Amino acid sequence: MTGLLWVTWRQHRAVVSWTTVLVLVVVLFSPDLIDWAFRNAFGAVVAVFWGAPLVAREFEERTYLVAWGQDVSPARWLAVKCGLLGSAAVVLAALLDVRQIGFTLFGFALGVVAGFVTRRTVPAIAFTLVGYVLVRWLFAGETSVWLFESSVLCGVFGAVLIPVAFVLLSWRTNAFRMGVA
Amino acid sequence: MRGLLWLTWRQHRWVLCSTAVVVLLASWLLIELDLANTPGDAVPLSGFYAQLVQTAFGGLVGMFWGAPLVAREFEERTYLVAWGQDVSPERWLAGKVALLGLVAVLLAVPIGLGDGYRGHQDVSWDVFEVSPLVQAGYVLFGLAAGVLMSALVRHTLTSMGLTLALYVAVRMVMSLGARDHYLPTERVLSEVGEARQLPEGVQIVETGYLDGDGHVMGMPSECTAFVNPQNCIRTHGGAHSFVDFQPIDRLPGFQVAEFFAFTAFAAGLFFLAFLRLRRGWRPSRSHRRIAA
Repeated sequence: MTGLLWVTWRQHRAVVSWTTVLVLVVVLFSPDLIDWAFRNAFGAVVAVFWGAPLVAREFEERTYLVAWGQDVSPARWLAVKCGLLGSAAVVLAALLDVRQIGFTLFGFALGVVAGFVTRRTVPAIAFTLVGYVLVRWLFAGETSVWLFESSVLCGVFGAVLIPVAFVLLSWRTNAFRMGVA
Repeated sequence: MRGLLWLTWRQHRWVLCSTAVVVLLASWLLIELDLANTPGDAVPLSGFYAQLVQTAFGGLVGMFWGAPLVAREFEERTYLVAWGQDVSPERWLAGKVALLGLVAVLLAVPIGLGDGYRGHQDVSWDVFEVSPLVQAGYVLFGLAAGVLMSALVRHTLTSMGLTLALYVAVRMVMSLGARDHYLPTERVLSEVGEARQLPEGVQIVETGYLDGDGHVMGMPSECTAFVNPQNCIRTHGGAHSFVDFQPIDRLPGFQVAEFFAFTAFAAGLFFLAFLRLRRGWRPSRSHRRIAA
């Protein structure tokens, strides 16, 4: 467990650090217009730079062979990574605006799933960006869809996408064990 | 050259095609809503998202076309093949940049045609970026930023992030700060407290007060508490109020200036990228080393 913690920090410290710096700068100093733009773009930033490369890069660089060949099971590896990065993203989103939590969770989960589907970083980023904007667009006009705020709805989508990511992981790891991948 | 043309198409066809789809969709929305323009209506949501694509287009091209261009070759070690041919690395980059740049400019034209309901007027400072020429400048700059970043950091994801940051920063500085001052502003004076007569459609750059000698004076601190501070300003020596503005007939000229400014930035960034590739394209020892 401490090993996984260390791996997560070691692999993602750069992106986590600069996002945190950006958020702090915006929260503390920023003028209104930049503030508004960044608040609304934060979910997309997390989706594209945190979520999408998470597994896509492991596939692309073939480091999944190392990452999932340890005594820690792949499901546990993914759970810890998603848990840690997801909660860090939620904390940062809450600093900006409570409404952003739902969008950020959704974006992060969408990125992870896109990474499993494409298994390459740049296409995963592209799909995540397009999917994120489309979903925000579909629900932006509604203050309430089935009595939910669009941010709550997006958060629910994110919560649905996380199990999807685990299913995709189990497919990939079965293929991996059988020597297909 | 034929080989390079084929190579560029073969390597980038997916990103080219998907960008073209996004461009077609966005420009169709922008133009369609522009033509269906009924004054008084709010911007529809589809128009808002189409405007988002319009605003971000240069940055997207920089991120998805420019940033992976050299970085991916290093990351996948395919530069060994790509630059081991009879085409030199500079020729390789020049061919790719020329082809991709041409396509990017062609795609920027429809993006700059419609305003997606914005402004309700075809000539207005609000729709400064609705111009094929301006969009062409932005897209060239975005591509150049991406190519330079990818030549510098040699890591796709990092160069995408840096490209986005550079693009947003430069666009923001230019549109919020520099653009209003491409030409000296014109000034209209009026008595303090009097309604001022401004020409139609101007872009207001600055407003304030002048003292008796015609010097700009700040708001006296005693006057800030008043709801109508005019009397207080007069007693503190304010003679006139002024408005500095850019008249509407300068709009086309400013758009040309914006195009040239961004094209000049792009030329500078491309030059640096070429320099980088010529000087030291061999990977450093530390490149992709797995650190302990």
